[in-house]
Amino acid sequence: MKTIKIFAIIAIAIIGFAFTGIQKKQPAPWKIPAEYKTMKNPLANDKASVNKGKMIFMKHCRSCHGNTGIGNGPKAARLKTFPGDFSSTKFTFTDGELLFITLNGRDEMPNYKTKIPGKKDQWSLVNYLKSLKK
Amino acid sequence: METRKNMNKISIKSMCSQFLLIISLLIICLFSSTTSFAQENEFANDPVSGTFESGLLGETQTIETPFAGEFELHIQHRFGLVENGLEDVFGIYSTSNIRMGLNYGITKDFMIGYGYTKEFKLQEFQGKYRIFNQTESNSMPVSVALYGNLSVNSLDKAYFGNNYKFSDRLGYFSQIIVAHKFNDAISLQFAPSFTHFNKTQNLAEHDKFALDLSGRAKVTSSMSIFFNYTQPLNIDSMREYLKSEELDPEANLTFGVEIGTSTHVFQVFLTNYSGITPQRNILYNQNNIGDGDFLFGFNILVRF
Repeated sequence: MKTIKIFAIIAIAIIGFAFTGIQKKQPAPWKIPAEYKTMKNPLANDKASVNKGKMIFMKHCRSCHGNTGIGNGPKAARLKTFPGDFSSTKFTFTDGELLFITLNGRDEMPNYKTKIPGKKDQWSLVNYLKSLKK
Repeated sequence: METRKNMNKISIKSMCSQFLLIISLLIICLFSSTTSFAQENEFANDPVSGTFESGLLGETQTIETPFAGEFELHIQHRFGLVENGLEDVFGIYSTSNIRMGLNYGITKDFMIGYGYTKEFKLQEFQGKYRIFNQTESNSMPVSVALYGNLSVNSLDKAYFGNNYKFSDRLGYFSQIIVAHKFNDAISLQFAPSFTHFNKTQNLAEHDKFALDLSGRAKVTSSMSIFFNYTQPLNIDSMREYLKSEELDPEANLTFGVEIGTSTHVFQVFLTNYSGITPQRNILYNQNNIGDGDFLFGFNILVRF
């Protein structure tokens, strides 16, 4: 009887956690101005820019998006909306679109216009985000 | 006794000359790097970002200021000397000095701030203005900032003795900061300063020039190691009192670890300074590097 109770508690806990996961909203599509959709990245997508982008990502983005950009950062659990999986094949934003999203944010995602003021830093971050796709 | 004093003078002079030699080499390196890192692209004239993590590095100011409209809350702590070992857990259970401060970025290059330090109940008003920004192409090889700090000792007026005047409470610190970011990992800065107190304790001099060399090296994306070295210049021709060299302030060495996030900066370090306020540290520090007079300190900065 005791064993059945323990299994029941574990089962309830698992279902509860699973239900919490379902509760997390999937992000709505972004409304991105046309000028950003076709904007060219002026920074070469080389190792130096990706490394620089990684430093910026680890400082500003890691806490929600996670170390590898799959949306499992320490703060992600408290968010109402799933922060996105940058390694997914569904992650198909252009460079300009990523720049717009980073600079402007929305809802729970803050804007980084003032925190990442340098254009070179902004495009380096875009290059790093692109490098996370598998 | 006389021989010992002469030896002390010689060692101070040789230390100063070594320090100046290091500074000269650093400046040569800064300007020689101008051409080697030159880039011809659309980012060439952009200011470099992240020379340092914040406007404070251990015991010294850096060329960084908060962004326009951004507040920066400072919580600073200096524990007791580590010399007693486990008896007071390396000074952590000993008497400590605390400072709380708030800085505000008026423009991207200009900030003002207020702080309150426990020791001597010092209230500080400070300002920093960045005159030049290092550019990506190194067409401007360094960032330069001016920093000023006015401290008001708010102890009871009985502390100041006879003929008390309000101006006896005031102490001034002014500094020019020159910094160069070599790459994403390594930055160095050189900062000469001038300290003045209207009224001093004991036979301490009223005026003191000092030189500061600081640097940081990133070891991971969010963690760095850093150092400060501050050498007060005990110049004989500036002396006001006979035998005042016995009270000459000591140099400071600070080294520690820094962790930076989007909203917080944490710095934990060993230092010789316990005063937190720069003018107190430079004029009154008697903790000697050679004697191992170090203490633990930390700075927490919150941006919002």
